[in-house]
Amino acid sequence: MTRERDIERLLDTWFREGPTEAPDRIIDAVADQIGHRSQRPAWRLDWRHIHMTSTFKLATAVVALALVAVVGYTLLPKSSSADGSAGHGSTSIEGTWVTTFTKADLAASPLLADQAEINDGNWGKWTLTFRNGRVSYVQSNSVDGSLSSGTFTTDGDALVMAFKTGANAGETFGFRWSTSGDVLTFRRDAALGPGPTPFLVRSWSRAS
Amino acid sequence: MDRDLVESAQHGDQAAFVDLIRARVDRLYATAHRILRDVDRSEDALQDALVIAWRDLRGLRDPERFDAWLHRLVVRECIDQATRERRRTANLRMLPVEGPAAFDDLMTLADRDQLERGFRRLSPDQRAILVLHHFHGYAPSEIAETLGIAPGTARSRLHHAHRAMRAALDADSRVAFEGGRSA
Repeated sequence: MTRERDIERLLDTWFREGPTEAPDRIIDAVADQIGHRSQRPAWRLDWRHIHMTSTFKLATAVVALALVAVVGYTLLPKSSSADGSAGHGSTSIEGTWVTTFTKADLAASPLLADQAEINDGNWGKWTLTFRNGRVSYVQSNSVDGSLSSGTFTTDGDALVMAFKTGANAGETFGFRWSTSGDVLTFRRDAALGPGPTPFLVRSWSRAS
Repeated sequence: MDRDLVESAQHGDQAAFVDLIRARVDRLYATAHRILRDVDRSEDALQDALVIAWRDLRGLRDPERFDAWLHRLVVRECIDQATRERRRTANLRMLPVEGPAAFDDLMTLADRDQLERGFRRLSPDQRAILVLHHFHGYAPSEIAETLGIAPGTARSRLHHAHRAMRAALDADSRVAFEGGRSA
């Protein structure tokens, strides 16, 4: 018994030694990798571990057919509303939006506020997400990548984003925004705060 | 509230995911390093586990379970990594439990090299169980949850892991003793 307790005490002490802080490069590497990797849908189950009876198979097939019918009906073209919007959800900024433009596009933009904006952290593929009061973006191109997150508020067409972490931590940006169908467009309004050019070079398409 | 961050990450918000792991990476790295005993392999295992976590995050039904789920992914990845490494370097042979009573001497017990060698003789599962119990202070029921095994199995494996560690240390002492005598 003494030997058993000795081992346990020894292991307690030994495990307290050793590193307790992770190198920053782990976070950097993960942030880089997830920028190129999509998430698996939640419904993707490991069917090898599911035993299906004949009845269950039939029920599953019926549900799948019904789902296909509903989705197909939803995707049918519908008549547009008077303002050209496509209906439910399209007038909300909530969701994920994407845009892509080159460094040349950025440099050529008539909306460029400052030559210093022409840098590798300001062009490429962008994903911008507004959800539950949180805003975040991820930017990547062949030579650089960045991300930032924070909170946002809207008041009519006024949008204010306060970034808390990442590349723009501590900065607040403001824009006027509008949607048309699944396209989001920003406009500068100095009264709302600075509006960086990357938000303005191209319009944004809804990804989800 | 992390629940909001988890839900945002589940909807594809990469920055939310990075915020989540930034707050947890030290603890996860500490776990990985103690199981794998190697800086490079610990970093690789942790990085792989975090990318898997991003990929499979939408499958997590209860955001409140994020921490336990993530910890489980990291421990599993470490076990897999250690198993692969063991296959590559299958040159360590577990010696019998019986041997000289090396633990009577506390100075010998304090020998970190001996501990390191003894620990490396254990199976990856046994290493993980000892780290969860002695580093994180997990009870067998918590170990069971982390490893996805029954509580009784966790208790039994913990007992065997202690026994295997003692055997490994005894074997190491015996090798040192015999080596010293023949010199």
